[in-house]
Amino acid sequence: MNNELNFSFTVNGREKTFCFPPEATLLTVLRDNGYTEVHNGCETGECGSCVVILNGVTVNSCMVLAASAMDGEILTVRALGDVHNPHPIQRAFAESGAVQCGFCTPGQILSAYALLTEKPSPSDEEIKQALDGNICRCTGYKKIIEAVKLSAVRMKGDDDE
Amino acid sequence: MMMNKNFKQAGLSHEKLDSIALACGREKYTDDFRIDEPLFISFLYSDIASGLIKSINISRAEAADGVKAVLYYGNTPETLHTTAGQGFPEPSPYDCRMFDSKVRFVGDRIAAVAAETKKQADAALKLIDVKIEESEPLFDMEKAMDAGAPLIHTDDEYPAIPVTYKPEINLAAEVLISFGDIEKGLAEADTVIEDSYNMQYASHCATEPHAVAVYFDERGRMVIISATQVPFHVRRIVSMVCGIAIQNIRVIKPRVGGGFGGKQEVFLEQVAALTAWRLRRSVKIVLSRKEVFINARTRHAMRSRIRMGVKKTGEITALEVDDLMNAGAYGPHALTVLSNAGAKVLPLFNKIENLSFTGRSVYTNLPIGGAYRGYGATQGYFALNQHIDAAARYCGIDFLDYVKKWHIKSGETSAVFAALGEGKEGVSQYIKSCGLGDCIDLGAEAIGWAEKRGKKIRSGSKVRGVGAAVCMQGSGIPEIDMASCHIKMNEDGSFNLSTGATDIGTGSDTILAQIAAEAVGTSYDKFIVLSSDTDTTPFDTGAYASSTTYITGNAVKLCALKIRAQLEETAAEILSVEKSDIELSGGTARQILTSKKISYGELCAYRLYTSGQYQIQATQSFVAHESPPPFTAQFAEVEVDLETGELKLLELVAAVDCGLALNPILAEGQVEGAVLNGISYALTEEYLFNSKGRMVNPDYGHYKIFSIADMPKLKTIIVDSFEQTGPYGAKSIGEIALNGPAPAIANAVFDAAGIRLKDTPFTPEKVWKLLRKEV
Amino acid sequence: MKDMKWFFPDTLTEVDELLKNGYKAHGGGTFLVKTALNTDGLFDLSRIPQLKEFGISGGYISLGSALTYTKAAAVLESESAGNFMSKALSSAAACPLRNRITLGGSIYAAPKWSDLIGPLLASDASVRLSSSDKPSAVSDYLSDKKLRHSGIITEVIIPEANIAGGYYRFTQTHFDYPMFTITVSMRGNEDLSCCITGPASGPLVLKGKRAELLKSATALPDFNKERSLSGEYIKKRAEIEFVRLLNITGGNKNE
Repeated sequence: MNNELNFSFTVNGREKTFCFPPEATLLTVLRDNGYTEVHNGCETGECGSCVVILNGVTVNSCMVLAASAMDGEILTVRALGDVHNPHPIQRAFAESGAVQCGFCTPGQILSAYALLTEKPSPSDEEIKQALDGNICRCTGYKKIIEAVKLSAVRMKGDDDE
Repeated sequence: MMMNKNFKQAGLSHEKLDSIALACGREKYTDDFRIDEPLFISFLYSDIASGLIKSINISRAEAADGVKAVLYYGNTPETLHTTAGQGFPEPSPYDCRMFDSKVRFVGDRIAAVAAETKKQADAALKLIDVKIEESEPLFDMEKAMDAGAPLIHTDDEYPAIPVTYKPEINLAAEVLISFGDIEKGLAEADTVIEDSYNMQYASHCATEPHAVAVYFDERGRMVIISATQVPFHVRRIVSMVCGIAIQNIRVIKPRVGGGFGGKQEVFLEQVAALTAWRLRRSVKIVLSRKEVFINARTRHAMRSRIRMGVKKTGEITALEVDDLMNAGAYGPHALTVLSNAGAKVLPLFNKIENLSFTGRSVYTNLPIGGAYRGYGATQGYFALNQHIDAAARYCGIDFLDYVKKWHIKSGETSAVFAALGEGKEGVSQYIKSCGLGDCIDLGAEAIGWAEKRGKKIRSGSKVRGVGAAVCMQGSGIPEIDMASCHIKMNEDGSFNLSTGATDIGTGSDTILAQIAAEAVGTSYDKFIVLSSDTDTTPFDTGAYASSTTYITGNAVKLCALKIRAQLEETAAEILSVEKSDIELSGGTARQILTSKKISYGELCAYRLYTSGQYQIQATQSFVAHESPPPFTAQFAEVEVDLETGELKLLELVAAVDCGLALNPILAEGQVEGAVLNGISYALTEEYLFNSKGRMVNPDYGHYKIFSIADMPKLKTIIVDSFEQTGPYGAKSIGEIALNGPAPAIANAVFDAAGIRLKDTPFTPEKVWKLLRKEV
Repeated sequence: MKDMKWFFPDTLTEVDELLKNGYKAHGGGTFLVKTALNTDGLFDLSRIPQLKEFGISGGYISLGSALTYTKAAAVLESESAGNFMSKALSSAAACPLRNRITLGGSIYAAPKWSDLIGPLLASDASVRLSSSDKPSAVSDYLSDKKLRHSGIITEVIIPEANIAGGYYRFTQTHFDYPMFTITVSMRGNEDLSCCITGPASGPLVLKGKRAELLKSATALPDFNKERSLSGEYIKKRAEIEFVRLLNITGGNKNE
């Protein structure tokens, strides 16, 4: 198509140029370019499976027109760690039983990451406030809250070292 | 707490095998696979609830940019089948074609377009010219069997097994059992309690929408990647509907983003497969959330009417249950969900001599019902627990004391077990483990029953109350479900465990590894688990009916014991001692007297390379002869605003007997997820239909499920229990916990405010209206 | 789809030019994504520094229109802890949306279920438009179509003294569109300014002494049916909650 845009963003620390139609959402652009860890659960901004961090804050990538993210910095859950060297939050989610089907997990973890970056010792209420856009149908959320709390403890421990 | 059976692997909260990869975004779901140049399929759905397609012209759509195929009833197989992913022959009626000339609900599929891009497929849908002659729709299930009611199925539909099926009166299924004499029992009673309860349509809301991807391998065989709970049923149904040989079909189940019964349904795979097969092209179908709401399956709405004769002593002299279930436009699971509303519910109070269950499933022009976690027991227990609450109150006995006296116990049976099965008679069984008493005691303590029940603690316009509910479920379908597995050993002491069991997020891969590790005598992480792939893993009926832990678990245990025997034999041979002189544990064979040790890896290497060579491996199939029920007692504390009707759930305690919890953290996770779904179903979730039968709230903005910010205080208690027929003492845990919240909340509201909430969801307006009547 | 163009202006002068050419403004985009993107071009407001500024002077809190709900709530909360405006902004929608929805876009779109409009009306807030130096009252902006299309909102101006009070939103779940909202703004003494959003006839602003308002609180205009709740119930509920909010706001009980 002749009207496709060629825009650059930094995704997980790497600047790349993406080619997409002007009305494309960030979700489709990311998924079409292999970032399939960003999940599509509703496309109406109401489930949080597609949450990424854009310029330091969590957003529903299905609700962001990709063009508006030009020159932006995007983090997906893969930026935090991988199976050989997971981030403390990823480790805590796994240990706490906060991961069942895992479809919502990347979004949950990014919401937790954004929260803990800003508030290293969040209260239950603050956790609920920060993760209120991430629907989970498997866990009943209890173990997600436990995982965020465990992450907080671990991350503070890391800072002390 | 746990019964000490000296287990080394069973009963430990090991981390789920896939959880780190999931947390790191490395695992793949169906839509994450890169397949070569797939065609994308979009569906044209009916916006009319009932009608006949008078004409359909696809030529403009066929000629549109990028379009490769348009499918409709005129060019697709007419094979009648059921989309229910059940064992064969299915207990669900064959009442569905891939496409049909009749539309039966708003959201019924009229046609499909396959195009190079999703956008092109969507655009071409608008070019299909369809003329539908509307006919009078049927929305009210209570009128479905009336003379002159519009008929939904009139074209040769038939049941695949010999059961009652009368589409000529919209009867999709019927279940009738009775013992004793109801009228006699009622006459003997001191009072007769009679009421009707209603539960509504609901969506599973698995976070991953339904998806399928099809491609051809190097040799031209068709590979179907599917977000399914039932890969082997997918293969069979695709073969049957499309006329493609089983040999040419391989079904792979990757990670699945939740199922809850919704993905026990095979309704996309056959369309994708047929298109791929005809065009020899890769194909993808990924539903939108709206399509999931409108076209995928739902929880059956059900009306349950109960007449119960009760003596002042508490004895139930008669119980008559009359359930009417809305099958919707087609009948997948129409018989078995209905049957379960009796089979999983009535045995709990097993001392009722005069008992009858009349269940009818009727067609309407509304969305299609299907399997949904709880599977009829949810609806059945909602009604029964409120009735028991009323009976106990009539007798002046505390609900918990009442239940403890009358519920089924270890060593007891119920005639219902033998009478009600899956489309045929059931299987007689005696209960071998029942921890319901402990569930009640521990749960009551946790909620503060003694201090709160009947106290109606007031604060301004708000009053508090507590209520409870008790339930059981089953562990798989006895004499029907079959599971199998294969284990082979590697020379470093690791094992490959292949099973057709379908981990859809539950953690079944992990607990099966724990079972195998316990039997073999090594640690669970020595097992590389593969599930499921119809080419490389043996048959399993799939993830449904709370069956994997018990049925596949037993297959895995027996299989792993065979491996253990081979290890013993090998160690004895190497050490030149009797097998009885060998102890296997912790990945090592030890000669008991000398403490001489050989690692499992060395044993395997010996058999692979040195002497008496063979691959240490085994296979095992398992069919259960009983279905030991797990039990739960759930407790709710609520606060009712007497002025506004606002109902706030403050806390929910779920105490569960699932036998020995093979992995307590994963077991708790099953309970908590099911409980929150049950709460949200009780309070806010509902399909809203307009007068034309269209669902008007097909998005999370208007179909309200609970987020983290809505959760009440939750407590899960796994009670100490051991089921001797289960693998290392285990029973099921997947479904049961969903059955408790609605009745526990309703009973708590009665405790607080003296009103009976008989229709879910409990909106503040319903509460408010009942409160006004009360005043 | 037309060949939609994207622009990234750095100044309001460029914005004026783009508006004249018929292009539409893009704030957070959450509203645009949900509605049809039927336009020749969009210009993104996030690169205009002026629209992200905030401050207090002369008793007025000024918030740039490109500030998100999250940011605006934090600014307001740090100025005046526990005010209804920050409460409303931080309970709206859900975190990843609050991080994206901008004040300007939200006022422009002004959906019936907005969590922002009620508090703005109750507090007599105004907006400054790119087309005029003089601020316009939010109520005028909402009712005057010509005004709405004359320029983009650059700034939201809220009288600092007016944001103390209470806020109530009626929803089924936390992450939900309110069926009604009630804001009670305290103006010293027993004077209150209130706004109820949700009535079929549009937002209702009521001002007066607490005692008078308590009387009118039980005679609200009609509400439409929402989901499975009847208009009758929603109205009744709004009346009860209004009375309750009036009684606790600024009273001796904590809200």
